[in-house]
Amino acid sequence: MKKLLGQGMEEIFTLTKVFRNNEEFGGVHNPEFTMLEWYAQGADYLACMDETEALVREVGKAFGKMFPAFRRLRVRDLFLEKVGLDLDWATKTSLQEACDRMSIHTDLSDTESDLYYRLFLSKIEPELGKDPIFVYDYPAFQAALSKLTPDGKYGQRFELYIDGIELCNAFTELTDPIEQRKRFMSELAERKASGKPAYPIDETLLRLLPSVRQPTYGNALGVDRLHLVVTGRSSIEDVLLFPVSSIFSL
Amino acid sequence: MSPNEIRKGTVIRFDGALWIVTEFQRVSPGKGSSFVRTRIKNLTTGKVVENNFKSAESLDFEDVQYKKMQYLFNDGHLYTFMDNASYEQVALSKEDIGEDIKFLKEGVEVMIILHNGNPLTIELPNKIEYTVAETEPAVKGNTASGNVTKEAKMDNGLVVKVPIFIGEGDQIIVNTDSGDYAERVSK
Repeated sequence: MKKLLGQGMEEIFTLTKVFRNNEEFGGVHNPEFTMLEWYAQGADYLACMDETEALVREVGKAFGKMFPAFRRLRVRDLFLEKVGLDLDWATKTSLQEACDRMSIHTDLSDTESDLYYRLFLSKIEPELGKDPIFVYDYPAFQAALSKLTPDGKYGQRFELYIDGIELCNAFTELTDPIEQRKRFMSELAERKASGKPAYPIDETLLRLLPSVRQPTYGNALGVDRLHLVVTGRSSIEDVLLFPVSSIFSL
Repeated sequence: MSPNEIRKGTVIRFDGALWIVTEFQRVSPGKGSSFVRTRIKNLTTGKVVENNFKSAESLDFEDVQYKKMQYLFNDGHLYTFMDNASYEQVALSKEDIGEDIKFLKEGVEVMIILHNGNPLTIELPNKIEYTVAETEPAVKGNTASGNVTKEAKMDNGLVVKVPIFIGEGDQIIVNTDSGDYAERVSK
């Protein structure tokens, strides 16, 4: 879709089935699900937050569900509050120290990003509560395709959580082809190192990127999860006609 | 072994103790390594903790055997199961079985997990059929809240939220992962 932006499309969306293999199912996961993706040129991730909130409220209304105020919290503030760690100055050592202090299991092979994510999984995500909350400005090492904040430390990325369920992932798109190539390369190296399939670098995308206006946001929202949230159901199988567990006997 | 191989019922050696995986979920931060979020139960102390393992970590898996057995009865503390082929019996305590105990009913077939021949715990089938023993009759018009369920007590004492059209004597299927009503068995 980013290529279409580069070819001059200003505002685009798709609403399609997508597939994720290799994840477990049940709960809020199914290998086949519906994703709404949309992009707009000339607007950044904060504008996208407003739009996402309006969309979710509107869908809620159709189901008779009223949401309380949507809170907006920086990852840095969450870490200050729940972990007592300032991500502005976080290093591998200070992240490791925080894990140890909170008795979180770590591994010798852990990178800065891994340690950060262990803290996020154990201390942040479970504490987000039931009300809608936008978590935003993720550490730069957690934002492959997003533009950085002015201080260069965070990616302009947000996720929306409702009922502790992650509904979407959005960012101000990175439009600098040189920076993008650098991140593709390091991601490729990481995927190879962790034994995941490595995909070739998308040269067409890199060629078209300079034609994309700044800023441009993109968002991907799980429609079945939104369905769960507005109907108050807890398992994705309740909102799918043919969940994988009914197709295969497992 | 990689934590990616973790399944429900996998037994791992971790922090000097044996733990059985009761729940797991793969999570990925959007970038970087993926993780497996687990809920594990200490097989000696029964303590349950949550732990996150990175896919690239190496983890010790313990060899366990699974044996299909039928639940017979309990004496208040020990729960007895029998292998219908060999008539071999094993007994497990309340603590060994843990949360799953409320789903047990006479005659139900479960997997017994054995380590070096010793029974550790059970694994329930995903779905179990029960007969509704007690429930209120449906109240007409009480659908305004959108919450069209009521409580029902099963033949083994298990309490489940069921749709209002379910009546006493109906056979229903309950999902043992969530404890939720799944469907009515057609007569």
